[in-house]
Amino acid sequence: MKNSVNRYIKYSLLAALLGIASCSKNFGDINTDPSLVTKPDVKFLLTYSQDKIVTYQGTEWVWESMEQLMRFTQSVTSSPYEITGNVNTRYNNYYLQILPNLFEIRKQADEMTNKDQFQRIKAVTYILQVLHGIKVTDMNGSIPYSQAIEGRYQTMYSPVFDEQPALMDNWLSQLDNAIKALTDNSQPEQIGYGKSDIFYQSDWVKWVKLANTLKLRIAARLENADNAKCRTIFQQVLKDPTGPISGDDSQVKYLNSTYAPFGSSGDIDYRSRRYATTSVMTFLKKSNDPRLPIYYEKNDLVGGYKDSLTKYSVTLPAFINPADPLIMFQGGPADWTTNPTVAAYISNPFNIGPITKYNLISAINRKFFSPKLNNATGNFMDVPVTYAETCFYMAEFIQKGYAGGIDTKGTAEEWYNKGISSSIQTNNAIAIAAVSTTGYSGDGSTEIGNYLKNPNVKFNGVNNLERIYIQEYLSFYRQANEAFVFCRRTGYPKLTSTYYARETFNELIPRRFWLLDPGEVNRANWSAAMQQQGFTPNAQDVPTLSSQRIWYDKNAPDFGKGQ
Amino acid sequence: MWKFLHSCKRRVISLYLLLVCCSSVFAQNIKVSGKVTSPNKEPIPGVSILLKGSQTGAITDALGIYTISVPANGVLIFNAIGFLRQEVPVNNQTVINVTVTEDNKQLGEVVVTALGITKAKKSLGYSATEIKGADLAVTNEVNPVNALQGKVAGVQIDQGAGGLFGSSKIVIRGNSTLRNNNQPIFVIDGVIVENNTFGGTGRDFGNDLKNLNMEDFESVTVLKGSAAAALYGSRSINGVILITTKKGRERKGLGINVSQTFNVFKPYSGPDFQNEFGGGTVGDFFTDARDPNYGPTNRWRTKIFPVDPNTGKPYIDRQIGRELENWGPRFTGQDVTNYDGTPTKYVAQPNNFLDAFQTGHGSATNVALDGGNERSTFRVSYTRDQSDGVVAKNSMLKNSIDARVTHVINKWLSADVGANYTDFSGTNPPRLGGLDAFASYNFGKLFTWLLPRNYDTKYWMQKDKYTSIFGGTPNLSDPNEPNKAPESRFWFNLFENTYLQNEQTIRGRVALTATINPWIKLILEASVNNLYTRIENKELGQNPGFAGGLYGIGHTSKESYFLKWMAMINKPLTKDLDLSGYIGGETQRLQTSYNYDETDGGLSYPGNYFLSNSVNKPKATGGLRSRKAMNSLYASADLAWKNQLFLQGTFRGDWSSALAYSNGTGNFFYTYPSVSLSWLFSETFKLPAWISYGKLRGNIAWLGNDTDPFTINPGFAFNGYTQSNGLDLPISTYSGYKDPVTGKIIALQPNLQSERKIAKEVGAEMRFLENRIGFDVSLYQDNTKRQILDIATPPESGLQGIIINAGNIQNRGIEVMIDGTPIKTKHFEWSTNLNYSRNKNMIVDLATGRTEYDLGANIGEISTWAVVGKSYGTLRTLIHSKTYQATDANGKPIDDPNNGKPELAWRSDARTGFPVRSNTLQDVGDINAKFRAGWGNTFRYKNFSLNVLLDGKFGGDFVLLTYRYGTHTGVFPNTLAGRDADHGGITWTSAYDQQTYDDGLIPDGVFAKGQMITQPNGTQVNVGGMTYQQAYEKGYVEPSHAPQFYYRYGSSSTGVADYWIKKNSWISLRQVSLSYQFSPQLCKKMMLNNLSVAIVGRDLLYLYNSLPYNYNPASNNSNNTAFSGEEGFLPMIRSIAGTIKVGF
Repeated sequence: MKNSVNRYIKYSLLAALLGIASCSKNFGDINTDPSLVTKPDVKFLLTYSQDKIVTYQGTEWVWESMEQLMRFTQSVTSSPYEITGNVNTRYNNYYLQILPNLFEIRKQADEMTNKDQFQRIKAVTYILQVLHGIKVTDMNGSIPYSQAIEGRYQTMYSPVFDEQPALMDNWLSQLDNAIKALTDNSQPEQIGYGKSDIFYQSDWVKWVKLANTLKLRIAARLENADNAKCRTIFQQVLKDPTGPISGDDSQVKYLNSTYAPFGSSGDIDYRSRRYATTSVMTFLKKSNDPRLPIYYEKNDLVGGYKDSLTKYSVTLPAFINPADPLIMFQGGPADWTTNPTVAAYISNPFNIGPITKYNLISAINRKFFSPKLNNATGNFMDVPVTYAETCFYMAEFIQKGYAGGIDTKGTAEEWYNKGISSSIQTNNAIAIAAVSTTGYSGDGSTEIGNYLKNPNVKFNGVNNLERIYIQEYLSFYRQANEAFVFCRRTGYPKLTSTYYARETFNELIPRRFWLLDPGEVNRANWSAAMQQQGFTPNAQDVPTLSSQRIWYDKNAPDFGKGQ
Repeated sequence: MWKFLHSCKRRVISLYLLLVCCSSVFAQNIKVSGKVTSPNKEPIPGVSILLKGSQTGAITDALGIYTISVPANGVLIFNAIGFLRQEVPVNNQTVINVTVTEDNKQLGEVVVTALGITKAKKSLGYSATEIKGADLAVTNEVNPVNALQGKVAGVQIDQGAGGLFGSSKIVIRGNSTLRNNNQPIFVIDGVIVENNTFGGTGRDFGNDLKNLNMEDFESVTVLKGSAAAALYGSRSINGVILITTKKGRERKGLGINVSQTFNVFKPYSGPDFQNEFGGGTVGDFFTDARDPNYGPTNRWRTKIFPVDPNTGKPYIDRQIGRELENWGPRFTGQDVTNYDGTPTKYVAQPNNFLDAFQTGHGSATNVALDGGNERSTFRVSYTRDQSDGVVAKNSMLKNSIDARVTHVINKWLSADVGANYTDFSGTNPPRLGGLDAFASYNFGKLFTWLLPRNYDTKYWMQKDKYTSIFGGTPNLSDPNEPNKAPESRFWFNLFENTYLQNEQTIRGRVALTATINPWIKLILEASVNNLYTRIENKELGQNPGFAGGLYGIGHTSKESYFLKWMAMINKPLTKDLDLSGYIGGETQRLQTSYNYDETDGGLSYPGNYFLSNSVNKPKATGGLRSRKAMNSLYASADLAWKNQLFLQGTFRGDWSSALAYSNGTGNFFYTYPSVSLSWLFSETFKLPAWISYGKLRGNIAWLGNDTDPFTINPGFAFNGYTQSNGLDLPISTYSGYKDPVTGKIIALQPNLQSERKIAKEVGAEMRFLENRIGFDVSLYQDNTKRQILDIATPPESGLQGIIINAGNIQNRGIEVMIDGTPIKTKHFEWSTNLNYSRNKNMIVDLATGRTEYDLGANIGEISTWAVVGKSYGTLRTLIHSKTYQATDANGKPIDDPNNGKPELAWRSDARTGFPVRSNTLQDVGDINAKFRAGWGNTFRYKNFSLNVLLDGKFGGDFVLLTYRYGTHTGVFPNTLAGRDADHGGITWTSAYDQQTYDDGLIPDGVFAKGQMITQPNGTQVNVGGMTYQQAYEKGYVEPSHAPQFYYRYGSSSTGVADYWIKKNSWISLRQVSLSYQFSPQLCKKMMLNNLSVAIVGRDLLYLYNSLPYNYNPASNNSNNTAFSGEEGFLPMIRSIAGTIKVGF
């Protein structure tokens, strides 16, 4: 009995020990997610960051651009809505979606045995960092940059907030270094991203052009705060052998057949449909702008409307001129309270007969922004950095005399005309991709030519700069942030202008967004930055946001108060 | 790794030595055998038989049979759990059959403990509470968690708001980790069932627990002390709920038991809304343009209708594209144009919230067959459970078959085989949570944010009303749409979309018990628990022509298997010392894989639900969600001395793959020792007769824990494709946590270790007056240290978090259970039990340099934190009001009668003052309850039994986001004050427009220093430091229009958090049940074994509810343990069920 007992015990223990021997067999494999890799390919990382620069904007389009910024710039009018925490998605996306891969690309490149061949792969990552970084500082002022994204590599979780002068200097030198690396022919043969570079397919020359246009963007932003530096940068760009974006083919273009920032249903009308303002409509009509049907939809005064008016002996409201050949395009007040009579027609159709009702105010061209609207088949195309923008900076700075005798490769008027032409062509191309209303069929040269000759467009020697400004403004219709920065920087369109007047707007306009307390890890740096800039910490109310300015905006005029 | 093997081996060898030492020398004697039976002739296995004065012993087998060699003149001692100890002299007999008598001193009470081992309650050094399965089954709850409510001290249960089969939250002795799931695991016959949390957004289909059938439960043991749970490994860190299912019984013929239940769920109460004023905007100030048809002269006038300029008729304000406020006219039955252009009367709809619900009903059928002889038993049970919920299209059907067979194969081997198959289909649970600016699927938000008090739910929820004449839902921004009814898409979604989840659970278990010798048994056990889920989502397009829409189908396979061996010994060592114990090992494998395919960009043929009907290429996802291997060794030794002192030591070691790095290294081995002691001092001392029983107990346990599989091996994931410039290009970035694609970007501290929880407990149990009254008290302290946390980092670091080992959370508490039988006569008995528990949670320590940890449970702008020196569950916000403090010219605080009042902000566009936000992070509450209690009473009169259960929670803050919404929009009665002269509104003529108003209100508070107010004549006046009342008396401000004040008080940009964080204390009449058991004589006449009927009411009403306006305290929309609040309430729902049980 005793023996058998001991035998059992021994067997049990043997079994237990055998169990232990395999206690941790294959544990490493079992605990590894088969869908992850540890060594990434830089090209997939780059595509991700480039894609995010455009596609993070779903919330931004709906909640920030349409609902807030485009109203402030008076590109649209709609039922106003209080500003919410849904704005400023540009900030977190910069640090979490855009920058980390760019840092990782450089780390991976440096770990390559042939790392000398990855210099251009690395160089373009800086250009992308600057591209979105400018947009982040535009509404936030001081932001972490020089110590950012070092949590993973340096266990640095509390980056300081760089003030704007330092940010701009850092970006300018990063752009200059990138230009140098991209044009240095003494390097060994450089490896590219191929087609995975969705902006430029590794065409390094185009990257240099983008870097130069971004320098112009920075110059424009420094204009009020550091005019001398603005001029210096402009002159550097003029002297650069490659120069800035030089045509529609070197614009940053993003065409995506599945991306739909407004979805396929009614997000374009989220909370309120948007309409043309009286001011923009008046100008586009009087200048016979080919972009008018691209930007705004027709109202119901089309086809046989006159017969119906006659049949029911109805007279159109007084704000509409019955003889207007462009009667199908009507704007409404940017601030509804300033003209309730016309504003009433935004909410209500105009009753003609028992059934017939006409909508009188033109909505924005919704398919132009939302090509999948109601499951339509258009494609979304975005041009985040345009040739037109480049041309207008050139025209504007030449007109202001910032070139300082350096070859400007054309007069202000020539750059102005190039900018207008490119803006019309680019917006027409976007409309074609969206299967939306276009401004013309064919190549548009006739329409554009006529437009350039229109007395409301052509340089007249009286208000040439204002004309540049207005065209710059009109070209930014689809770039809500650029339009806002433009209006904030220049104070144009001017309230008092007889050429193109900004409408009275009683609502306060925030000049910046806000960054909330980041928690104890980086509270000290955040507090210091808020204090240094004179910002009320955590304040999100418009009276505060409209009265506290970021550094480069401090000397800028109020909205509509341009000189 | 070798180090671990070594230590592992060393421990095993020590145990071996212990076992060897224990085996003793046998003398040559006569052989005695026999059978031990209970008074009703059932064999009793596991009775220890000891030769008095020696270490010789034996144990009865499954048939109650024993054999032992003893001297012919010896004395045998029979000792069995639950029965009195007996001494029988051998007197040369070779057959000694013994009938043991039950121990009615309560010393014999047994409970099922860890690993399914039955123990005498007296021997436990920790607190365990057992509940009879029948007491849970009677509740007719789908979720067993709900059935436990109020029954066990130290167990906190908060019912969710997820509908028929939604999740509930259960926490034992407080939140012990910083994670969001601090719930215990459920173990059914040794098979672990996960108890996952529902995140709060999306649809709550409940977790795996809903597939359990309480009709099959024999008993449920709540193992509260960690010593009890120490043998279940990592997953038991938050406690264990142990379920033992029913077995067949030895009987003549077949036992057939049928029970049939019908129940109804009645939504009986919603919050109290105001029903005096209907829809209309607050007025026209520049951040909220009003319908221009109010006309330019009515900019500040509310309580009027806009007028159609074409027809001249008033209409109900459609408030297109905005929340629907209730600043419209007083209801007097006015003739007015409705949202769809039809004429209607303007009247209140007091029941419009409850009208959105229906009365739910269900039926449950259970048929159980059982039988057995002395070698075998079987039980087969079938359950069908069908219900329609109170929300339209929310239904469930569950079919379940459970079988259990036990068989004694031969003298030394017996088998226990069980299997369960459950098929569950659920549709359309309500979707709560803050999903978007509107109220998609969220009833509570719908009626506080969007729908006004004049909204006729029954009318607008009709199909032809919520559908646009163009197809889809009415698009209010479309001027050609005649139907401007608000939020029609709510009903469209509710009635037209279908969300199905089908789950098939297969659970099987085989256990073989071999009796090696009279005191050693070997158990081999294997089980599988697989859950296969299919989900289907069907959405009808809301665009014109029903374009859009969605179809998705997905499958999840959750598979696990489990192998275990265990050697059990039960041996008397000396006359006074018994040893029992076991050594065992187990291995577990778990794997979850999934796929989900969904249409993209809408459906090509609207309303046809198949994948290739996708406008764009369908999207496909899938893969391995988790995979894990666990190997364990454990041992336990129990020493019992003189039936009065019981010492138990347990040890477990786990090897978990979840702590292994990809290269095979890592700290993946961790151990759990525990020691517990129980002392029956009533056996040691001679106590007065009125003390029947007394016991002291104590234990200490160390628990460990791993983390989720794959967590510690991040990498780079593909994030789909971008279809840019005509190409399909893959995109990739860092993998996220916890979801590789959508999760947070994290980094890891190197060399992560297992978590460690140290749990200590002492307790006392006493019974008096022949067991008529007794109590059970426990005091405990748990500390969880070295937690594997993802601690947040500012996004500017490029990370959202780092995973580290850190923290020390402490829970201290007391649990008291008192029970008694105050009245006991022949026909009438009243028994009562009271339980009370109080837990104090404290964060002792977080990581280096960290004092606060965001628990990731935000409601509105209120977030839940763990703060060092405070609790898990500190509520914080930036938007609490600021308190006024006067200062002198140098900014130094000075005394002022207005100090301490809220500081007011002023908005000229609203002409109102309102409390200003402090914009600093303030602690504004604590979600932890002060204490909880339950009180159960059973009254028995002859064959009637009445059970009444009350339970209550006292303290603990709750965030009522919809109360804020409703204040902003004016649907709650708190917004009546000042609306018109009848409600105390000041009547005045405004200097701004010379019109007379009667909605004047003076907000309480003080203007900030330097506040300038522009007067109607354009001059500026400094009102800094004055209360609104003082400024009003001086003529510097006019009264605020009441609507403007309430609007700002709750608005998303200026609202303050002062008034919508409330104590959530309540006392619920949780259950009243009345049952009647027909007498055996009557049953016999009807050829039945038994017959009973019962009627049970659950969640009948709240006897006390501290929330305002009769809010439902059970509105928590997540069982995330950091979550305390609602973003959309449901009505209070009571259920009444009638059950008949027949035994043939």
